[in-house]
Amino acid sequence: MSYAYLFKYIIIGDTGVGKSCLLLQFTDKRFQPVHDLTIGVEFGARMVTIDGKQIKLQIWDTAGQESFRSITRSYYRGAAGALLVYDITRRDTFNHLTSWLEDARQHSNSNMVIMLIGNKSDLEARREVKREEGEAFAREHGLVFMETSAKTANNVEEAFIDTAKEIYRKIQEGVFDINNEANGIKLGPQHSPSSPNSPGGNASGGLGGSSGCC
Amino acid sequence: MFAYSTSSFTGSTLSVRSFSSDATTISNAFYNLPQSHVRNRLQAKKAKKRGSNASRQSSKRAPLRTHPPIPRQMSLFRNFFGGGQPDEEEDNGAEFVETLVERVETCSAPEDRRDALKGLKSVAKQYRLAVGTMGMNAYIDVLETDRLNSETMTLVLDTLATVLSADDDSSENDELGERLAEMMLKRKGFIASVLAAVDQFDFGVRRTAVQLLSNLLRHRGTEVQNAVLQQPAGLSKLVDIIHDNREVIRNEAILMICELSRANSQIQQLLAYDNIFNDLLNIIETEPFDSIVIEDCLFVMLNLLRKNSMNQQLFRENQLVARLGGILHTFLYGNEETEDEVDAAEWPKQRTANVIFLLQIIRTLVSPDNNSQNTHAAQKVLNQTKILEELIRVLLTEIGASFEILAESIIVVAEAIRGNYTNQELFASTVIDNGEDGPRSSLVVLLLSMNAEKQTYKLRCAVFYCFLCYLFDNEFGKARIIETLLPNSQPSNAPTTGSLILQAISSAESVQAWFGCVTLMHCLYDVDHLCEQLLRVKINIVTEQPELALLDHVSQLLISAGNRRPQSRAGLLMLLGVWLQNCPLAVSAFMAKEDNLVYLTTHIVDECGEGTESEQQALRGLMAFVLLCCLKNIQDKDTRSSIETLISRRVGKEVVLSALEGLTRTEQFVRAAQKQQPSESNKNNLFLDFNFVKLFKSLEGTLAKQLKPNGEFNGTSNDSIIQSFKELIKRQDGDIAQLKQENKKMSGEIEKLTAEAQNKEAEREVEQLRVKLDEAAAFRTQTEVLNSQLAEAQRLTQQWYAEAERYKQWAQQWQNYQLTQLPNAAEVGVTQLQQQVAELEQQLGYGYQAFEQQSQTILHYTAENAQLRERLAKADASLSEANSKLATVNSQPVSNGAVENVDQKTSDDELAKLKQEQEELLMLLADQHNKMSVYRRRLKSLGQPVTDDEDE
Repeated sequence: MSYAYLFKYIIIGDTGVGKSCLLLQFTDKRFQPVHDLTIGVEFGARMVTIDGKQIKLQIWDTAGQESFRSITRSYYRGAAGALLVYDITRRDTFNHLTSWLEDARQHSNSNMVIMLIGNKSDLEARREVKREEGEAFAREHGLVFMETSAKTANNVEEAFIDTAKEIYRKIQEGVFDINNEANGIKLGPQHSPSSPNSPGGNASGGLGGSSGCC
Repeated sequence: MFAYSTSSFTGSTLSVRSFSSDATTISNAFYNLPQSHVRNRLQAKKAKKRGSNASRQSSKRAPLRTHPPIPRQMSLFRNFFGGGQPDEEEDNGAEFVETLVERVETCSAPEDRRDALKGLKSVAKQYRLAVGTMGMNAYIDVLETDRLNSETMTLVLDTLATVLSADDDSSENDELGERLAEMMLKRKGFIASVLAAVDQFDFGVRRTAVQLLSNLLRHRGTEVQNAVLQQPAGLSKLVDIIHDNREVIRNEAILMICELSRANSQIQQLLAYDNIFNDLLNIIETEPFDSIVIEDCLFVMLNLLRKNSMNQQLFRENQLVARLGGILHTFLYGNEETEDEVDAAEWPKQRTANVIFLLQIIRTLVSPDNNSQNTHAAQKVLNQTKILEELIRVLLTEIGASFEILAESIIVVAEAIRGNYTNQELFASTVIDNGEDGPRSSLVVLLLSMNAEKQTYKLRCAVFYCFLCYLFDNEFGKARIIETLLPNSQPSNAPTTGSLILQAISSAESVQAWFGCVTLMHCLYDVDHLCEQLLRVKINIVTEQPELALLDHVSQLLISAGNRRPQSRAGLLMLLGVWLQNCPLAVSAFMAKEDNLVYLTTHIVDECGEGTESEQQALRGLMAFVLLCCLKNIQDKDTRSSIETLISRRVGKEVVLSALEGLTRTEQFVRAAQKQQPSESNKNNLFLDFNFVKLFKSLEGTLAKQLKPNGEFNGTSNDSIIQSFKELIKRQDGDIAQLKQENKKMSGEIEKLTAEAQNKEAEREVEQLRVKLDEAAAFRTQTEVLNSQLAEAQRLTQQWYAEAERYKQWAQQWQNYQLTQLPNAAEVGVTQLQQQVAELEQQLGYGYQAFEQQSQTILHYTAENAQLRERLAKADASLSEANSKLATVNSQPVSNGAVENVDQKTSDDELAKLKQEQEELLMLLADQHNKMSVYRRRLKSLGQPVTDDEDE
C-alpha cells in the first residue's frame, strides 16, 4: 500500500503507564492485560487517512525504565511526534512528566509535536490525577492533551490521529523540512524519485497495516 | 578490506616506513623541524647509539628536560606490559619519544608543538607502546582544549589511530593495541572528545577521528558501543557522516559502522531507526558492481539484520526487500541501459562477492534461526516481490553465474521455501525446457545435480539441503514423490524424482548413497501412511531378475556393505529406522528376512569395522535403534518374546542399551543436532541427519524402556542386574562411609594443624607485637625525654621571645628618643624659622619701600603746600594792592568806569577761582593727612617705630 507520507512517532513515559498497550490497541485493536516489560524499543505501524491522504504511522514504543533512558534518548531526534504518557492512577508518573518533557525538548528537533496522554481513564475509581491537572500541565507547556484508555480503546485512535493531524498541519505550514528524513517524516514512494530497478514496483500489498506488528 | 580507503593520504606514513634509527633518515623524517632542534636531537641520538654513560649525560643536557622521574615511569610501563627486557633500539625509541612528548607538553610556540606532534606521528607505528603511553596526557589535552586547531587535532587523532593498529593485519591478536585502547577508554570524556572531533567538518579531523573510532571498536567493541550510546545523539551523528559527500570519509564511516554494528542489538536497532538501510542502499545503487564499498555496505546490513527480528520487521515494513531484489537483479543481469554486460565467467571477484553478500542478506531474512513469524512473513514478501521467482530462475537456467553464486542462491531458495507451502509449490511447479531432454521440473534438476559426481560437493550439498527444505512440513510434496515410485504410475523414460532418489541410494558413491537415503527418509518423516505406501514399491535392478521390494533392496544394500562404507550404512540405517519406527507392516516385512536380524545382532558388537571409533559407535547406536524399533512394533507376543530372548542371548540387553545411549555421545550426533543445513565443509562429516537426531531424542526413552525391568519376560535378568547394582551401591555406600570417616578425620587434622599454625602464627605475632611494644616503650621514653627537652626549649624560647620583645621595645624607645635628639629636627625648625624670618624681612623691605615712597610724596606735598601758601600770600598782597588800586580808581571819576568795572569783574572772577582753588587744596591736604595716618598705622603694625614729629 502506498502512502503520501510516513511519520515516525515515539511513545515515552514511565514504566507501566501503558505505552505498549496503547500501541497494541492502535495497531492491532486488542488489549493485553499482562504487563510485559519492553526491552529497548519495539515498533508498530498503521496506515491512517488525513485530509484524504494516506499516511503511514511508524510508532516506536520505548522502554520506560530508567536503565533504558539513555537509549530512549537516542530516539528523540528522528521522531516527528511523541506521545508522552502518564497513568492517571499513579501520581508519580504525572510528577515525572517535567523530566520527560525536558529530555524530549532537549534531544528532539524543535518542531516535534508532543501529545500528552493520561492513560487508564477506565480506572476512574483509582484516579489520582485529575483531568484538570493534566489539562493545566498541557496548557502550561503547549501540548495537546487527551485522556485515553488502552483497555477500552477510548480516545486511542484520536490520540494517534490528532498527533498526525498536527504534524500534517505543520507540514502544510512549511515548518517541517520534509526532505530530511532525520526529522521523522518521509515522503511516500510516489513523491520521491521512483527507483527504476525495483521489480514489481510498489505493488507489494499486504505489507502495511497491522500485518507486521507484534 | 581497508586498502582502498588508505590509498591517498599516506604521504606521512611513507616516511614512517623508511624511518629507522639511522640518523640521516631521521633528518629526512624531520626535514621540517627547526634546524637547531634537529641538531640537538641528532646529537642526542648519536650519543645514545653509542650506548655509553655519556648518552645519559647528553640526554640530561637536553634543553627541555623538566621531569627527571620519567625513566622510572617507563620501566613501569614495561613491567605493566610484561615486555621483559626491551632491546636497545626500543629503548632509544622510548627516550626519543619521551623528548618529543616533553616538547609537546612544554612548548608554548604552536609551531614547535605541532612539529613535535608531527615527530610523534611519524614514529607512532614504530614505537607504538612509547608513543601511545607517554603522550597520552598530551593527546588528551589537545583533544579537549585544542579542538579548533584542525592541524594538531588531525595529528593527534592520526597518532592515536596509528598506535592502535598492528603493522601486519593480524588485529585479532594485537594485545598491545587492545591494552592501549583500554587505556584510552579509561580516560574520562575520551569518547565524547572523539565524537566531537567526528562532528567537525574539517577533512583531516573527521577522517582521522573516524579511523580512530574504528580501531577502538576493533579492540574494545562493547565498551565503545556503550560509551557511544551514553552520548546523547552520539549514534545519530555517526550515521550522519555517511552522508558526507567526500567519498574517503564516507567509506571510512561505513567501515566504522561495520565495527559499530556488531553484536549489539540496541545499536543495531538505533541504526535502523536512523534510516541507515536507506542510506546504504542509496550508496550501493551509485557504486559500480565491483566496488568493495558495496561489500562493506552489505556487511553492515547483514550485521543489522542477522538475528535481529525488529530490524527484519522494519526492513520489510519499509519495503526494502523489493529494493534489494531490484539491486540483485541489476547485479545479475547488468543495467539494461548500459548493455555492456560481460560474460559472468569474467566477473570481477568483487562483483561475485557482492552478489553473495546480497544473497546472504536475503537469506538472513528467511533463516530458520529467526522466529517463525518473521521467517514466514519474509518468505511471503520474497514471493510477492518476485525475488523467489528470480532466484529459482538463477538455479534452473544457465545465467552463467559462478558456482559460488549458484550454491548460495540454492541455499537462499531452500530457506525461502522451507515450511512455506505456497513457496514450495511455486518452486516445484517451475519447469524448464532446454529443448534437449524435454521439460524438467525443478525438483528433478535438483536431484540430477545431487547425483552428479562431477559436481562440486558444496553445490551438491546445497541442492540436497534445498530438497530437504522442499520436503519440510510438506506432506503433499512428500506424497507426490512416493507416488512416482508406485507401480501404477505411468512408466516413462524421463527420470522422476523417485527414481533419482533410488538411483542415489543404490549408488556406489558413499556420499550420494547417504544423500539418497536421507532424502527418502525425509519423505517418510512424520507421515506414517507413506511408510506403508513405500512397501508397495518394487524395483528392477537387473532387468532379467524378478522385481525386488524396495525394503529388501535397502536391507540388502546394508548387508552387502558388511562392516565397510560407514557413511552409506549410516544413511541406510537412518532410513530403516524412520521407516520401521511406527510401521508394524514394514517391521514384519523386515523381520521376515532372517539375514536382517543376523546382520544387526552381529554387527552391533563388531568393534573393528571401517571408519573412526566415533563413527563405529554411532553405527552401533543406529543398529540398536533399528533393533528396538522392530521390537516395539512386533504385534505378536510370542514372536516378540522370542526376538527379545534372541537379542539378550546373542547380544545382551546391556550392550544394546549402551549402544543406544552411546549414539548421543558421538561427535556426529552433537554436530548434526546443531544445524538444519548439512555441513558444507567436508563430505565425510555427513553422518547423521538433523531431523533423525530429533526423532531419536524423542524415542530414545520409550525404546530403552522395552529392555528395562517392566514385567514377567525379563524379570530374572533384571533382578540380577538390580542385584549387581544393589551390590555396587552397597559397596559404594561402604566406600562412601569410609571416605566420609577419613574425610572427617582429615578435616579434624587439618583443623588441628590450621589451629596450630594459627597458634604459631599468633605466637609469632605476639612475639612480634611484644618486640614492637618494647620498641614502642623505648620510643615512648625517648619521646618523653624529648618532650621534656622540647618543653624546656619552648620555655627558653618563650623567655627569649619575651626578652627579644623587651629589647624591641627598648629599641623603639631609643629610636624615638634618638629621633627627638636628632639635630636634624632642630635644623628643620631653624630653616623653617629662617624662611619665616626671610619672608618677614622681605615684607619689612616692602614696608620700608612703601614708607620711603610715602615720605617722598609727603615731602612733595609739603613742598607744594609751601608753594601754594606762598602763592596765597602773593595773592593776598596783590589783592590788597588791587583793593587799594580800586579805591583809587573809585576815587577817580568814572572816566574809565567801564574799565574799572571790567577790572573789578575780572578780579572778582579771579578771586572766586582762587577761593575754589584754595578750597580744593585744603581738601587735598586733608586727604593727604588721612593717607599719611593710614601709612603710619601700617608702619606701626609692621613694627617700625614712627616718630610723632613725623605726624605732619
